[in-house]
Amino acid sequence: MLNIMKKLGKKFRVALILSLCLVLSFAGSGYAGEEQVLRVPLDAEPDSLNLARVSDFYSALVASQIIEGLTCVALRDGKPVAEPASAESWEVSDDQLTWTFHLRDMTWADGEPLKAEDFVYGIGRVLDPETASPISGKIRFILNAGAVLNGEKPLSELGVKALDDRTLEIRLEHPVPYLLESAAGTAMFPVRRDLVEKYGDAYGTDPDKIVGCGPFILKEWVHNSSLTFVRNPSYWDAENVRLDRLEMRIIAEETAKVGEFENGGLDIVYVYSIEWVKQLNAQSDEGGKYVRSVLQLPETRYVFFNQQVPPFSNKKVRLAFSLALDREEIHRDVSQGMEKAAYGWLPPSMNLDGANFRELAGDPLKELAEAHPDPKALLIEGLEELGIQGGPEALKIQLMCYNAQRDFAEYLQQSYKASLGVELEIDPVEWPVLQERNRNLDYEMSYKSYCADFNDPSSMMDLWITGTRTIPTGWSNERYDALLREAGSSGDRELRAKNYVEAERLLLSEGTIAPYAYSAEFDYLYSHVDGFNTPLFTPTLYKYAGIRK
Amino acid sequence: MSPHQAPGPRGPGVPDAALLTDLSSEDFRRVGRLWEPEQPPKPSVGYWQNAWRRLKENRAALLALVILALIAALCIVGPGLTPYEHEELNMADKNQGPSALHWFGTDKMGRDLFTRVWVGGRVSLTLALLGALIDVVAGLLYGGLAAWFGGAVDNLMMRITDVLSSIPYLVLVVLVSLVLGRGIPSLLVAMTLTGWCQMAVLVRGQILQLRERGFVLAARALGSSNWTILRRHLFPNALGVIIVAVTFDIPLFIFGEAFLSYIGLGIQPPMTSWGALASDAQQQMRFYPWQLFFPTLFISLTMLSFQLLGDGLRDALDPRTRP
Amino acid sequence: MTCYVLKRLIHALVALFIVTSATFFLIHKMPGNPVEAMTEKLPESLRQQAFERYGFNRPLLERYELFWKRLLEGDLGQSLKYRGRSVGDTIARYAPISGLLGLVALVWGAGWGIVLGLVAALHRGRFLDYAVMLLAILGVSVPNFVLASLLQYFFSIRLGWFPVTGWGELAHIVLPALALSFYSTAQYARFMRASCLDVLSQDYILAARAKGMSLLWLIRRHVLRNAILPIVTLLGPQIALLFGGAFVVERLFSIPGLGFYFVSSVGDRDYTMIMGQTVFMAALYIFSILVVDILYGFIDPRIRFARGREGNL
Repeated sequence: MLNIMKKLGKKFRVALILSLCLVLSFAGSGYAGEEQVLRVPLDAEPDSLNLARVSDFYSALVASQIIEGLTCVALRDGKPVAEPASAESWEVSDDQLTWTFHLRDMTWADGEPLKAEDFVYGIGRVLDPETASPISGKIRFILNAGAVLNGEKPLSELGVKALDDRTLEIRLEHPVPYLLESAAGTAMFPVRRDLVEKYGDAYGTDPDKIVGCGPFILKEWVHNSSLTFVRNPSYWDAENVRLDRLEMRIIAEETAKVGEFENGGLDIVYVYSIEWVKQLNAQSDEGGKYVRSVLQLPETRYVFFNQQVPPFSNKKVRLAFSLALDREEIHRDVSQGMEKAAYGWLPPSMNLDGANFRELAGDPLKELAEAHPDPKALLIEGLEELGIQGGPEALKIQLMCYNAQRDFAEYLQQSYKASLGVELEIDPVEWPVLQERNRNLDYEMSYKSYCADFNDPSSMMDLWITGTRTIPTGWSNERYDALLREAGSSGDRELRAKNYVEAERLLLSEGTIAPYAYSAEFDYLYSHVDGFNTPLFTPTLYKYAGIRK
Repeated sequence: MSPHQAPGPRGPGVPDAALLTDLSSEDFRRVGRLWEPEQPPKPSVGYWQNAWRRLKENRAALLALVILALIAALCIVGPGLTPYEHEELNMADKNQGPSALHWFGTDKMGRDLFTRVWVGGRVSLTLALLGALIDVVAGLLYGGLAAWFGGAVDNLMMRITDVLSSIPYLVLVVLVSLVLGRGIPSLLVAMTLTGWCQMAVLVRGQILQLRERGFVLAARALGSSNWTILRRHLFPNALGVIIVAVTFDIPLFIFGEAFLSYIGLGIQPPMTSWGALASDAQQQMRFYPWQLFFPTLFISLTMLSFQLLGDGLRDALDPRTRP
Repeated sequence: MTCYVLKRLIHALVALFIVTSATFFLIHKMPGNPVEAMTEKLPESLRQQAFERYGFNRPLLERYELFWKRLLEGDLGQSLKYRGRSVGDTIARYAPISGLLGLVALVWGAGWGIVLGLVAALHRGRFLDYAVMLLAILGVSVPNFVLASLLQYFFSIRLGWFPVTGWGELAHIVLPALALSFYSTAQYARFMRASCLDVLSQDYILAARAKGMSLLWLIRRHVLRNAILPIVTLLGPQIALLFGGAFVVERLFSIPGLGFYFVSSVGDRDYTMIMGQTVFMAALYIFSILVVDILYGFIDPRIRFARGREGNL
C-alpha cells in the first residue's frame, strides 16, 4: 500500500502541494491589541446604504453608525430621549408646525463641511417620486410631502428649506409630537449630493462609495459576511466614543451564531427560539457571565382576512375567527412565554403623546370576548346571514402562509378545527408570492406581523384607512377613516386619544384583523459590554457602547 | 447514415478507411456467413441465474437487500403500529424524548416521530426510486441514441443536455410547483426535468468508449447488426458504471429533497419526508438530538444499503468480472 | 483540430444563448415580483412608482432586448434586492471564494477517493476492499447539512479547534471543506474502483501480466490512464459547478460565497441577479464540457476528435 503511494507519488504530490498552496495563499491575518473592540451579530446582509431606496432593518442599523441625523435617540432610564446630534439646538413655532434646527459646525468624514443643504437634499430624495422610496411613509408629515410624492407639486415646494448653511427649517402638514424621534431616522438623514451624482446607482453599495458624518467610519464590508467600523476621528463627539473598532458579523444560522457567542467570538447575541432563551437565561441567572435584555418590540402579530369573499365578507364570521383564537394558549404553547398575548392592535411599547397607549385603550379583544362568549355560535349566525349551508363543518378555508413560518399555520389548522370545527387548508408560499396575492386579494386568510416605524398610533392605524392598501383586506369603514383623519391632523392630545381608542375598538370589533401576540426580542451580552443602548423605534447606536476593563 | 448500412470495420482503429470510400454497399453481395454470428458471447438464461447466484454469495449485498426490505416494510406498516396519526398535533407533548409512548420521541409540534419517520420514508423512497428510474430510462435511451447516431445528431443531442442542465434548478422547482401544485409529483418532475442529463452524458461516454473495444469489433466482423451489438455488448458492459451512477442518483434525490425542504420549497407539512424531518431538526440539534438522529439514521442506512447493493449488482451483472 | 474546436465553440455560444433566453422568459413566469419582495410597507401608490422606477411596466420583449444590449456591453446590470450593487461585481468578488472552498474540497475529496478506489480495486473481495469502501460510502450516506452541523458543533463549538463561522483565515476553510469533501471522496472512490476493475479485466492487462510486467508498472501505464477517463468526465463540469457555491455549508459557516445568491436571488425574485448567475454558471459549465471533450482526445487515444464526423457504431 505504502509502496503504491510512493510509486504513484508524483502526481499526487503535485496535487497535494497545489492544494496546500491554494490554502496558504489566502491566509489572512487578524491582530489583537489593547484597543476596544465590540463584535455583534447581524442576521442578514443589509440591502444597501443608499438609504432612500431601502427599508430593511439591517441597512438602517449599519447606516446609523456612520451617519447621524439632526437628533439621535438614546435610552435614558428606560425611556427613549431625542438628544442633539448634527443639530445642536432647535426651536419650534407656537403652532407646532415650523421647526428650526441649528446645525453644529462639523464636517463629513472626508473633511467637507456638513450643510443644511445636505438635509434638504436627503429628505427631498426620499420624497421624490423618481426615487420611489419605500421609506417615504415615515415622513409624510412634512408640508406638501403627499402632493410631491403624487407628482402634484414640484420638489421645490416641499416644506424643507436651508435658511443658511447651518440653519434648517422644516414645516409640517400638522403637529407631529414625535418629530424629534423621527428626525433621528434614516428618512431624514443628510445626503451628499455630489457623491450621489458621482456614484449614481452604485452609491452606498460599498464602503468607498459613501461618506458619513457619524461616530464610525465603515472600513470594510465583505458582503454577506462582515462589516468592520473604526472610530471616526472627525466626529463632533469623538472623545466620547469608546470603541476603537466595531465588527458586525453576518450569521444566518442561529446555532452557529450562539456557538460563536459562547466561544467568545461575539459579545452580543440575539436569539429567537425558546430553547436558546431558556438555556441562556439559566446561564445568565446563575453565572452572571451573561446579561439579559428583553425588548418589547413595537410589533404585533396578527391574522387577517380577505373581506371581499365569503365567508369573511361577513363581520360576525370574522369576529368569530378572531375571538376563537386562544391567545393565552398561543402565549403558553406556541411562543412558550416569549411573546405576550395581544388583546389590542397597538403594541404596549407604543405611546400617544408621551402616554402609554395600551393603558389608555385597555384590552378591546377581552371585552369583545365577554360580549360574545361563544365564537362558534357567532360563526353559525354569520354563516346563516350569508346563506351558507352546512354550518362550520362544511367550510373549507384556505390559509395562505409564508413558507418559512408555516409552524403557526399548523397550529391554526388544529386550533380552528377544535374551536370552530372549521377545516383549514394550508397553502405555504414564498414571500414575494404572499405579498403579491395579498395585494391582489387572492387569498382567504393569512397572517403576518407589523412593526411600527415611529412612536405614534398613526404608524399602525393608518394602514387600514380606505385606499392605503399596504396590507389589503378589502375592508373600508367611513367612520374609521374620519376618526383617523381628524386625529392625524390635530394637535389636541385629548381628541387624538379619544379618536385612536375608538378607532382601534372599531377595527377589532369589525374583525378586520385578529392580533394575537406582541413580539419581543431576547438579547444576551457578556457582562463586560457596557452602554448597550437599544431604543425601540430607531436602531441601536454603538457610539454609547464600550468594553469594561 | 442509417445504422443498418454496410456493416464493416470502421472507425479510428482502421487506418485506411478512406480507401473504402470509393466503394459503396452496392458493390458488395452477401454470399453467406462463415459462422452463425453471436453464438458464444450471447447471454443465455444462465446469465441471470449466474448473476443471482453471485449476488447471493456477496454477503454485504445480501445484508443490504435485507435492510432495504425491512425499511420498505416498515414504511408500509410502520405508521399503523402506533395509535397516532402523522399530522396529529399535540402541543402539550412537544419535543419529548424517546419513550414507551413515543418510541422515537415527538417533534416541535408534539407529533409522534416514529409515525412521521415512516410516513416520511414513503415520500423519500418513492421520490428516490421513481426519480432514479426515470433518470436511468431517459438517460439510457437518450445517451444510447446519441452514441448510436453519432455525428451531428450526437452533437446536437449533447448540446441540448448542456442547455437543460444550465437552466437554474430552483426556478424550475418554483415553476413546476406552480403548474402541478406542491406534492410528490411536482417534486419528482422538477427534480428529473434536468436530472437525467448527467445520466445520458455518462451512458453516451461509456458506449463511445466501449464500441472501440476488441469484442465489439469482433462481433461486428461476425456480422452482428448494430442493434444486437448495442443490446448484447454495449449495454451489459456499460452496466457497471451505470449501476454505480444509479446508486449515486438515489441519494441525490433524497438529499435534493432535503435541500429543498431546508430552503422551504420541499414537501409541505403536514406531509413530511426524511429530508424535511432532518432539516427541521438540524436547527435544534443541540436540544433535541433524537429528532435529528432517527431520520438521519434511516437516510444513512438506506444510502449505505443502496451503495452496497449497487456494488454487489455491478459485480454480479458485469460480464467482465465473471470468473 | 482547430476547425473542430472552432465549431464546438460556436455550438457552445448557441447553447449559451438558448439557456439565457429560456431562463429570462422562465423567471418572469414565476409568481411574485421583486417589488413585492423589497418591502412590506409599500402603499399602493408607491408600488406603482416602484414598478416604473425598476422598469417592470415595460413590455417583456423590450426588457429582453435591453438585457442583451447590456450583456453584449459586458454589463450584467444591478441587483434588485441589493439596490445598486453590480451583479457582475458581486460574481467576480464572491465566485472565487466558493471556487476556492470547492476546489480544496474537491482536491482533497477526489485525491482520497482515487487512492481509496484504487486500493479497493486491487484488493477486490478482500477485507481491505470492504473496509475502504465502507468508509467511502459512509461519507455519502449522511446528509451534507447534518455532517456540517456535527463537524461545526464538535470541532468548533465544543473543542474550539476552529473558528465557528467566518472567512479570511486559513482555519476558516478546514471544516467547510471537509464537510464538502465527503461526497467527492465517496463518488471518486466508487468510480475509481469500478473503472479499475474494468481495466484490470482487459485482455491487454492479462497479456502484460503474462509478460511479467509488475503490477505497479501496469497501474501507472494502463490502469490509471484508462480509469481516469470517466473521472475526467465528472470532474470538468464539477469544477465549473463549484463556483456556484454550496448553499448549506456556506450558510452554516457564514462563508460569503455565491451559494447564498444562488438561492436567495430566486426567493427574492431578483431577476438581474438570477440572470447574472445563469449566464456565469452556464458559460462555465458549457465551456468546461467543451474543454473536457477536447481533453478526452489527449487522455484516451482511442477517442479522437474525428469521431464526431466519422462516428457510427
